[in-house]
Amino acid sequence: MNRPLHHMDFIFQTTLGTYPLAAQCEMLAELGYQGLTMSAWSKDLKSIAQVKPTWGLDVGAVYLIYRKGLESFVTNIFETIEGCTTIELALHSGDEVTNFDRRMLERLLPICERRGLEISLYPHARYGMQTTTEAVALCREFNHPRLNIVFNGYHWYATEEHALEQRLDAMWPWLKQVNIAGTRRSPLGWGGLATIEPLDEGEMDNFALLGALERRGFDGRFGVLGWESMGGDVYGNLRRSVTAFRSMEQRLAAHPEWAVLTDSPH
Amino acid sequence: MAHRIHALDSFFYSSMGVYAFQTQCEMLAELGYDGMTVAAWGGTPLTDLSLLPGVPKQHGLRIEGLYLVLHEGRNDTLIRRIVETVEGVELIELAVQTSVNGNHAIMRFIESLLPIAERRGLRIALYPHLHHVTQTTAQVVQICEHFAHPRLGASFNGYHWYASQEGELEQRLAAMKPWLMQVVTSGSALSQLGWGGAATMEPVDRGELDNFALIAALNRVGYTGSIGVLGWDYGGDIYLKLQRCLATLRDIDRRLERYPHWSDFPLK
Repeated sequence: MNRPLHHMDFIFQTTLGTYPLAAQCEMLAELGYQGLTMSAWSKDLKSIAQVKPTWGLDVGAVYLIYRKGLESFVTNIFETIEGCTTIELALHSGDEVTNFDRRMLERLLPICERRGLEISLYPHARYGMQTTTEAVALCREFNHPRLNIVFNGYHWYATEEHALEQRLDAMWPWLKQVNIAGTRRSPLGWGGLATIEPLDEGEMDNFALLGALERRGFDGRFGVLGWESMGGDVYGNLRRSVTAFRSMEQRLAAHPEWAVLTDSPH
Repeated sequence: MAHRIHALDSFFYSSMGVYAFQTQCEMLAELGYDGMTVAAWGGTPLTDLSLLPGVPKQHGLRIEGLYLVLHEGRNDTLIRRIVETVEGVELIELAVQTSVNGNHAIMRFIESLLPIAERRGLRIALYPHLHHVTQTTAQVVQICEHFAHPRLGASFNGYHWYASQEGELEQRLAAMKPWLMQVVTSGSALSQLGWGGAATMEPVDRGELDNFALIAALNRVGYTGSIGVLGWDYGGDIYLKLQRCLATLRDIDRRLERYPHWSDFPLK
């Protein structure tokens, strides 16, 4: 078992600057990652097609946020992207999912059909579409084969959506990718909600999450979420996360029953 | 010296749920822990206590203690019944969290446990706990001195000593020395965001509390028992945190043995 592990490129965008694409890819390849998720604001979108031949890495997805007023920007990404077929899409047109989001999806799905792209809805704390429940509702509503979900363990934890097993069951028909991070609820964390840390830190138990996904037969790609708040040495943080992930993966293969938890009364 | 190292079962509780007891034992054994303590809380354990006697043989782990929480006037009978019946453990760690009838009633309750301890070959270690009725080492030492009973002693918890800002580590340990039956520690930093608004609970390789200096001080009072790791509120991928904690404590013991002078400085 050696699941494809990607890292989101946010980790390379620190308060001191952004690492060049070559440095990003060399680090990821050296550490044994299989790919990366590129943010839509990256200056390197045009270089996606070179990533695989040059560094052997997949650009599994591009992460994009839709806000009111960004209709042309979002549409343009869908119309022009090359070398990557999945867009992880966060929706933030209001305090909840609005008709602006729906109209955006109506406009994007035909482009997806024509260009062979897929949308993975990305529930995001403090955005209009915050929870997996809202993403599932949109997938049901549109019932389109190119509209699916990326589950982000961090945002599920930060929004305190709870009921992991039930949420995974509800998402299952649409679940394509999973993003994870080490995290702990804290007013000092992202959005005043929860920290974003390497996978060996935080309070959320990613081993239990991996177990719950494994029991359902999830065989998609995992992405690790990093954020500037993580700080410190980027390479060191990347290494900690991949080491922790492979350790969890090995344990899960040897002892799948270890990851079966009972509800805590505390 | 190389202490035995045990984990508190609170490691295995997080916001995600609770690990099965069998898993707890298998992880600890695989990682090389010497033992564990099990919590029965206020009388409703999450672990089936009838499993305790089988643990040493099945997993090679010692049950270093059973943790109980007294709410005097509320669960006295329940706690006494557990002390009367539990098998497979010799040390009871008793925290006194709340009291309906006050100090005399707490003392009467502790007194009522002593004949049970004598008859059943148990020891009772009073466990100072921040925000509980007995929260400082000074308080539990006073109770030990009052009864002066060979089966009644104290548990030193580095986290609660630090978080309650009791200070004077050398003096506190010297006062505990005749009664010291158990030690637990944790990484910790004073912080309003930490447990109880007082201090964080973290793996022992983190935080501000210097566990190297703390264990050196325990060695100086001649403590040779097991050292427990708190585990509460650490969460995350439990296995890796257990691994870090064990590696850190083994390394501290190794350094203290090899470089005793490194810890030879006066503590504040």
